[in-house]
Amino acid sequence: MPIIKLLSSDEEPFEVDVDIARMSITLRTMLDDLGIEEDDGEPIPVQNVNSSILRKVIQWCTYHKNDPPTPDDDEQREKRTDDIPSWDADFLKVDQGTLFEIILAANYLDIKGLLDVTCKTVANMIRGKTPEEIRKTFNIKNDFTPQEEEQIRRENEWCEEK
Amino acid sequence: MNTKLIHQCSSQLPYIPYICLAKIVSHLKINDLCNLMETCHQLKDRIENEILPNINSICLCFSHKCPTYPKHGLAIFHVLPPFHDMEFIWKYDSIQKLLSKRCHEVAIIINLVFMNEILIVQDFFKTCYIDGKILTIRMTSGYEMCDSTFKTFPTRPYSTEEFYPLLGLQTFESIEQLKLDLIDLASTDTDQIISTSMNEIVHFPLKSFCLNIQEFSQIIRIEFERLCNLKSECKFQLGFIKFSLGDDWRNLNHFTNSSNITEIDLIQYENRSDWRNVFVSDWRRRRSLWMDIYRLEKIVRYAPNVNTLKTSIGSVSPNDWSRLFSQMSSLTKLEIVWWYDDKVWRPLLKDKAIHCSTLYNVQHLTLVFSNESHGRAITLLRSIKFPSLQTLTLKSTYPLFIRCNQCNQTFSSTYVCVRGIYVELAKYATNLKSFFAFDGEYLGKLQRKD
Repeated sequence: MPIIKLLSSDEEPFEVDVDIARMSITLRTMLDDLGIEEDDGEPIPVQNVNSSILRKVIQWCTYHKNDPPTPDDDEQREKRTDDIPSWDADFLKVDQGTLFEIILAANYLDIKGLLDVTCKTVANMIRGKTPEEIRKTFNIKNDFTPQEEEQIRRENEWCEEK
Repeated sequence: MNTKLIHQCSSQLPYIPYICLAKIVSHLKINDLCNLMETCHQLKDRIENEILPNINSICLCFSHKCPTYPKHGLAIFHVLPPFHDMEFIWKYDSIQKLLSKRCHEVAIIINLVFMNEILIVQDFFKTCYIDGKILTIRMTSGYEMCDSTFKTFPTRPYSTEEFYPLLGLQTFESIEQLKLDLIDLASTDTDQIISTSMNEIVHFPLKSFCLNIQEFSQIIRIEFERLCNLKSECKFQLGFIKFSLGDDWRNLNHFTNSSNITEIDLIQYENRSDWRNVFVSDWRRRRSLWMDIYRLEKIVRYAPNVNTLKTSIGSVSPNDWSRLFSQMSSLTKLEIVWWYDDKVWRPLLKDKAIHCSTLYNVQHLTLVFSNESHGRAITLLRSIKFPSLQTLTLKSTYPLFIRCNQCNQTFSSTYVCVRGIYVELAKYATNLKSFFAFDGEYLGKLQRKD
């Protein structure tokens, strides 16, 4: 199996199977454009991802390397958040900072499956919570004035479950 | 993405990239979304300014089919790309500001059982902005759209005459693309709605109009014909389940040039349990028809230029097909789905009811097999001569064809060698150039070498 070298933003090198690296559309495009098929000595810089996150991303890709291709979003497809595989759920039991770093990395590296599962995880953390509970969960500072808060509440009152 | 900004803030959620926020939001119900908007200025502004304006399709469901059974007047927003799997529920009067932005398609489902829904729709129609958008209005008689809780709902508490003036379709006077889906309504209701609405629709700057109904009645024929004549630049599509007139086709022929009909597609609606036997025809473009063999025969008589027929033969006797084929001298493309019913085909095999003369001009033949019939279909194939056949495609929804371990040729499960069929056919189909076989996966292509 051909190997290539990736270099994290903090300059830690990672040796990765080409097939695993190619799960990232960003890296695949880069490899194709540069005609790289295996390690030619020069590591490929992954500038926006530090070593701890890149390690996690590679771990996820390695586990999912034989998965069938993620289907394109289908407008008719039911939107679910209760279908996160148990391995992924365990994998994403990380602190919130790391979870968002993985989301950013998945977005930058364009790994759809990883982005989907991380966004679902965040959605699950939001669902069913009051605004105050959401703030607490995500450490969001309430910057509304009491008047603004009251106004928004009135605007959104209609959608509250009765 | 400004990473510096992220690290300055206590939370990353309000600042994640647009596509990530959209993906997260797409998993939320509307009350979760509203709660998220109530957390801070940044999230409120981003959802209002980045997410909501990108909703480009909305379905307003004024029925109890809404997944969470909300109150009356709630609507489902169906969001197409880039968030095309996003779906949430919203109150109708919050829709206007979204409609005024990017949304280009609105679907409204109205359950006629509930009068207060009609009032809401009326109210909504008066205020919403839908210029330049595609509008689909689906009206239902109600019961099939209801939860089981509502199955015992009493009969509709008002008449169509009471209902229709309330609807106020004239508020959509600038609409260019309109679909009226009345397939769930009884014919009398449909007639009433159509005869009223046509007077309003005729003033619309329509570029396309689609009408789906149960029955093509005399009233609808007259109204539809009138609209066709007045709107010469408009593309019309008509769908209905059954003819109600003895000479429907001749009547249809008054306002359409049947010589333009070149394709009959009976398969398209075969598996739609809700719209079974639907006849659909786009009068000015692609022509698709579905009805029983006798109606089809009538159409063929008036539409002599049909060159493409896609059909299932399950419910029709081979003699009928044979008679039909013999009238379709211009037929060059034929696609047949073999569903079932050995009884139907046994006499055909015996009598060779379809013979080379009836399919003389068929150049492209596609056969789709079901599990129990494909062996017989293959046998049948061997008995039919196709002097003009150029392309033969065999398809199966099951893995019918297996590969021979010894010769690596492909066999069907009844051990009929696909290559053998090709060779056999080639004896008669002297013009056969291409042969394709699929059983869910592409099996192979044989190309004549000589």
